[in-house]
Amino acid sequence: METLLIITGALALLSAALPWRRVINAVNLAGYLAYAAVTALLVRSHLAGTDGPATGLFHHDALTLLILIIISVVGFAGALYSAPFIAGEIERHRLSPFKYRKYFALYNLLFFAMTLLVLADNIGVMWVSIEATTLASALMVSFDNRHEAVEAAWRYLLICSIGIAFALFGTVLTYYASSHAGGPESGSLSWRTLLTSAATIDPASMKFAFLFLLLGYGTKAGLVPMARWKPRTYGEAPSPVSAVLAGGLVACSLYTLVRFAVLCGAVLGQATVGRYLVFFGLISVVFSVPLIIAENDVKRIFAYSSIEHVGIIVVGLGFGTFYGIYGALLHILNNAVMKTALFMSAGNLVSATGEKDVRRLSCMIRSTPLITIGFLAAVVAVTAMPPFSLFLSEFNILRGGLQSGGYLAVGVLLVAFLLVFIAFYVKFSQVAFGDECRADARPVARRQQLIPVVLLMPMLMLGFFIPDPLHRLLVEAAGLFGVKP
Amino acid sequence: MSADILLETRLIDLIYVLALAAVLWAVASSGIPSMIRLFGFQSFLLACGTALIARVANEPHLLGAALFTIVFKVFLIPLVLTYVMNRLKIRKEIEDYINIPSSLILCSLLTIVAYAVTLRVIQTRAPFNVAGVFAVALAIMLIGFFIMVNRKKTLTQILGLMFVENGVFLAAVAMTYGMPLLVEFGIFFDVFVATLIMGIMLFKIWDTLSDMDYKENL
Repeated sequence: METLLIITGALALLSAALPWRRVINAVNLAGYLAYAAVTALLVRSHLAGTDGPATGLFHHDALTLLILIIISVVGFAGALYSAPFIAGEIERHRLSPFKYRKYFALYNLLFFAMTLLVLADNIGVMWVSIEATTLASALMVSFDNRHEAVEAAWRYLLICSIGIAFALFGTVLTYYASSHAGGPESGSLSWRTLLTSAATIDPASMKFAFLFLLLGYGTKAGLVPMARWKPRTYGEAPSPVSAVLAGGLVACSLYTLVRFAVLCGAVLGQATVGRYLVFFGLISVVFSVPLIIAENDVKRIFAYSSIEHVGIIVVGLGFGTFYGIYGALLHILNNAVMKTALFMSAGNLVSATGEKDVRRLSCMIRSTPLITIGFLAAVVAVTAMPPFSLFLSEFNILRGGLQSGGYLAVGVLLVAFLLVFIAFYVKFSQVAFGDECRADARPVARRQQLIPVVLLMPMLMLGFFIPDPLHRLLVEAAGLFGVKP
Repeated sequence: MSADILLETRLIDLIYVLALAAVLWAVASSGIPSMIRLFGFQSFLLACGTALIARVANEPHLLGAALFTIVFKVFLIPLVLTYVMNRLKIRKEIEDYINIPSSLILCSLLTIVAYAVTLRVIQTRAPFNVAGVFAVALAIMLIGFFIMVNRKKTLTQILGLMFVENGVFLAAVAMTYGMPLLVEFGIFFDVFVATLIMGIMLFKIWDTLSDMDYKENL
């Protein structure tokens, strides 16, 4: 497990130290391939049951492995996409050539922090690493030093820091709640220990802790009362950064929410925790839909869509039935890959035209066919159309909702899906097939155009069948909530 | 409980009430330099309180936390903030949405809320008044949050965030005798780096602004 930390840490150092762009690229790609390979080995040994009991600071269970899979996919795709993108920005004199190394150093620091987050068994270390992700990514958001980007990064940093301060308070309260039973010495920060001793944890302070944790880590994931930073941040950040944040980092933030939902559910009862999750998830969905309809900046539309999907996932977790949780966990995976592809293809569109407003984009299929096909496929996939796997996960969530008797919530979700589908159809069919064709597209690197399309392939495949190892991981992770198929 | 310990627990209470007074004073103060000094002063109080708790509760690792507080929050963070303030030439009086007298009344209400909540959450057998300290911690957090929301200047928003962090730290020390030292260090380091990066962001915003009027409002 520590290998993964060593890989990302070494990549950060190498990216900062090596002077040649080509070498930096090669090293990063090799590094993320190695990362994926190590993850695959971990999954294999875990499923074979040969990975032995967890010890020390680190642990991994099915949930960790699920997120590690996401991180390796997003990490590899992101590194592959970032190289031509940043090089292009340098060519257009939007970035100074010296920043190439800095970009990849920050990129790898971000992935180091994300890896530490999912491997850490200690809720204190989890907090430290999630704060570290905020710090690294804030610098990436403001990377090109445009005024709008810097201001967006400032908002992002401030709002997430305050949210994270609340999460720290929640962590302290959790520690207190666990130490309450047998005097301060018996308290623990180990998630595993906390879960096994859930019966002795004081529910009154744990409930208080849960509210702070939900608010705090919910800020980072983008749940509605504290999601105001998302549209600006994703809208103004360089496209590969938006992709990595909306894909990888959101999955990691949801991971912390899942961990604490399991823990608090064990103390307070799954039903109590579920009610809060369904409530916050639903208001996120309900608030994001009209904003999706009203927004015209292509990246901001997707940022609102990210808020919507986080809401859907949290609702699924809140339903508390097997299909709800299974669907939510699958949706974390789908959403991560989809949002990465989506922001990358949106980035291609913006790179090719220099235009962010969907009303001024038209007939793109003529001038930039490959980009537009990738973009359209991503848009169709994100509205959960059947061949894509988002359909499967959302279907499972709805099924879980019916199972739990949350008919109202299911109804709200269905209406939201429908509205978002119509909004996307109206906005983006115009972008692709509109009447006013223009032929002044700027060249975009071939590789940059292909990556979103390639990312969508596995999503298409997952829509038809879920491979057995993934299925077993999902079932085992859902088992943390105490539910079985 | 020996007389010696009793004296120390009284001292702890006194120190934390002073810490609460410091943040209220910050609400009432109208200049950024005085707010930075108050933050440093409050952090110093917290360090003293932490050291005392380390003695009363016989938890030597808390001395490490006290040391981190001195290094990071009494010296480094105020230094960074003062540097940022001087570089950006922020001298103007602080502007807020709610005027100072009303703010103070609101903050007293927040303190009462903090005490009311505390009674529902905390039951304890610790050798000192944990419920009191927890209430103070929660009050400091809420007031820090209020400062962030109420003040228009960016630098005061950072200061509000720092007060919130102090409140969390106080709660951690009083209720659980702090986190394990490694985690504690991570937290301090993160908070410090966050301050640095926020400072960098302010410079960047400053650089990208051309309009002097807008700069005045930073």
